[in-house]
Amino acid sequence: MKKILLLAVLLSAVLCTACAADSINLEETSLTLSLAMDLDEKGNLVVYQTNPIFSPEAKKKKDTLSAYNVLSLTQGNIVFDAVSNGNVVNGKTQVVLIGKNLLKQRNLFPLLDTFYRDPENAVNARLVAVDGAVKELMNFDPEDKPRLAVYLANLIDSTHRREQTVKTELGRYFHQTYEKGMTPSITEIKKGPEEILVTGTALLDSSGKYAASLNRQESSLLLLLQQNVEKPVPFIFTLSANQREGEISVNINNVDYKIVTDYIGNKFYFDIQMDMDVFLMERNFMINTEENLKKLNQKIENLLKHECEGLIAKLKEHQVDPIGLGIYARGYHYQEWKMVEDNWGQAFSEAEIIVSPKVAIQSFGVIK
Amino acid sequence: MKFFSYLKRGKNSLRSNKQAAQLLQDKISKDLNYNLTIIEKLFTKTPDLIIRRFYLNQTGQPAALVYIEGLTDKLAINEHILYPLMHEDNFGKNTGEPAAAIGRTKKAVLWNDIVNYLLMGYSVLLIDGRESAVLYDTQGWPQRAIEEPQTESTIKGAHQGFIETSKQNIALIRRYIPNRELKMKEFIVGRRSKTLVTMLYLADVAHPEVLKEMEKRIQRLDVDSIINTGELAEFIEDNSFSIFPQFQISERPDAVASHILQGRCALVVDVSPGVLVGPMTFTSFFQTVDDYSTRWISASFLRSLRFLSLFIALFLPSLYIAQVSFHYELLPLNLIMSVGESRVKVPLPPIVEAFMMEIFLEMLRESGLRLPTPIGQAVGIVGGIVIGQAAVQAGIVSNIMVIVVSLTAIASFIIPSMDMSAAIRLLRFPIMVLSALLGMLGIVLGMMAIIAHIISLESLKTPYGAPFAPLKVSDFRDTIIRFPLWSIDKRPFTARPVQRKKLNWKGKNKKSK
Repeated sequence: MKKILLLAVLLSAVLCTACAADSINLEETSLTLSLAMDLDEKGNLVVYQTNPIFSPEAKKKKDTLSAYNVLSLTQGNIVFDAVSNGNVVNGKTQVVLIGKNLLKQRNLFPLLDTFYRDPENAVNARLVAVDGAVKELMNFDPEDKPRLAVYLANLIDSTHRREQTVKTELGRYFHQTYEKGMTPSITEIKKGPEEILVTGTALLDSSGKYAASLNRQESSLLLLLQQNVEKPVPFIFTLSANQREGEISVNINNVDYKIVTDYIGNKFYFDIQMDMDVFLMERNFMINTEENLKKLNQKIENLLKHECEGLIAKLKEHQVDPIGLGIYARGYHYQEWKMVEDNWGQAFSEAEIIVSPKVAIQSFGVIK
Repeated sequence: MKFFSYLKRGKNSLRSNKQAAQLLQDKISKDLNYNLTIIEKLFTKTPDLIIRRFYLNQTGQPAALVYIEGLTDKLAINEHILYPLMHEDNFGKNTGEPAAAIGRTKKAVLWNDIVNYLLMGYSVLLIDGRESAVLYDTQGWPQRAIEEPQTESTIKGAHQGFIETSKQNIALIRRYIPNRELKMKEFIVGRRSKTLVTMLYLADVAHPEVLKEMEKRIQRLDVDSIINTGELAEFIEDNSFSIFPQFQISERPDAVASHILQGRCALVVDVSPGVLVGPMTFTSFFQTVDDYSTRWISASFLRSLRFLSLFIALFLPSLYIAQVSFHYELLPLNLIMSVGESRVKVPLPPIVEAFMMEIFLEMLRESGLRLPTPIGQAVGIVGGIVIGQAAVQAGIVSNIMVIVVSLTAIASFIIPSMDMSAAIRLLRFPIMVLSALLGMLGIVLGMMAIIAHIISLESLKTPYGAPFAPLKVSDFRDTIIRFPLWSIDKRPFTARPVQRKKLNWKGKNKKSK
């Protein structure tokens, strides 16, 4: 008995030695930190990757690899393996950049398949649309910034923390795609001459292609409507064009939502009621804030309503629903939803959507 | 053969040991001279054996006092035995016995008893014409003063430690439990060493099965000698192939007393300052006496710190290996960068790097242990500089590895029991191998194996994994978190006490109006 036991232990120990083949030491990898996909002039898929260089002998800290004319990400990885210092590992990918050209021409979702299928790949990489040339951006190596992937990740995170853009990780994008009641929305960036800036949000339609872009203020409104705000949302409103009133900056906080849904005359009806606290941050004109409290509340309410409805009009025009109102339609009017389920974008564009914000200014700051 | 025997035992000696064994079964004779020749034959080449012949003052009978110098108290022999017998005349006033002023006396007839007691430090009085010898307890050998044990020092507890004489040790325990129910059972263990082992327990608290088991195991022992409590522990433990200690060996009387009060039994081994306590559980090795003398919140914090350090000492090097060669995703990006940058200079795979450093650390610890303190400090400094600075600069190890090694070292030093700490330090090597082969999966497999082993282990037929397996929620009050003392109103289940309740708490003292 004891001999059999010993033999079993030894055998399993011998077998275990084969397992170590799975391991690649960190310094022997070519750790993908940012990954990018775009189309070249001829319409072929190009994949780019940056990985950190650990060796103290290398002058540069970042290595950008590119694979031209490949069919998929996996093929790109094989090309990268052939040209890089180590084995390509995708587990720590921070950002996945997609060129706008690519987004306009092809469905994004199947291109990202390997990220979801291979469990060793990261699903918390930030998905980003790039306005302009991806190649230029991937080769961008500013001296006053950390390495590109870290820089981009920080850039997106900090902008999102200001509620100026959505932050869609690969996992969330998967959900947004599979959820029939909404369409995906991803961060959009652009490479300027000296720096990279977040321009706002790119909206994709239900077929996974590019539909429209939102600027940063519109992105804030989108986040507000998505009920996706965690931190105060800054807004700047122009009260009126005349001399006595100018711009006012506020932070919107503590929003309570109530979404009233209905189905009237072959149309969905949504009333998004938002009850919010507002903190005054800046005003560049003279006004007795305390006396004009009600008036100010009213004005901000109207402006907010106006801007939200402007955004919704834009969404309707492109037949996209990044807000996810389809989820409410399904929840409250299942029979009617069932009929338009596969064509929600159009049904959304025909729906009647009212935004009714209720503003209460809570603070004018510490000075009068 | 005979020649060698002559060389070894001296010319007056009995011819063989067998002959001596036969003689030892005999009774002593009436003839003093004959008796003394026998003693001389039995104890050839024994210059520390003293035979003092004299005449009893009252009766004028020739007598002899036999004792071993060094094992006996010279003052007691001179003033309380020899002086009264040689110069005073109250012999046999009431009892017909020699009037030596010694408390503990015995009578012996067999040579065997006489020889044994002689070797234990008793003095033997032989009187001409009598068929029995009187044995006087004159034990007194060089012994250490009572001082605080080095391995189990405490901040707020008592500063007494056991010494090498069991009588004194028992007295130290009895000072904490002045109770009739504190019973003792004596065993002589070791054919040659004849070590006195005393089992202490509270008769109305300790479980009879536990006592029976302990007794059975000691009686079953047939060994040449027992030098140390650790030896005894190894002979009587449940599973000697286990890496975990199944008995606590303590040098602190207060710790042993509190274990006895909980219903455990203790073995005091003569000649060893360590007192063995059982049955023990895994978690009880992470408790100290200080836990009860500090406030319960800070005591609980320290206890949870010890359990945390258990995991650090066991798994941190393996986690490092697994992270660096399998699961980079689990590390934050900035850490990956710094780990990568320091790893890239190292020519060794992580497992070799870790093994090298851990073994170096063990060597450092062991080498400092037996050196005199000033040199030991020097070893520490050399080791610290070598590990901390030079190895990293030379590119042999990464600086993250140095942090890992020092953290594991500190964590393993926190564990209060030396035996447990040694077990855990040793266990981390197989887990490191597992993690190098299988990554996190290997660590989890190792953890499962350890937990399975702890659950299946027993100490004196009492589950070692309690109170977790079998689950005893009531014992959690004094496991990882120590509740306020008034809420721990029952003795722990894990000690299997017959009488569980130990205090009556009637609420806090209310203010009188």
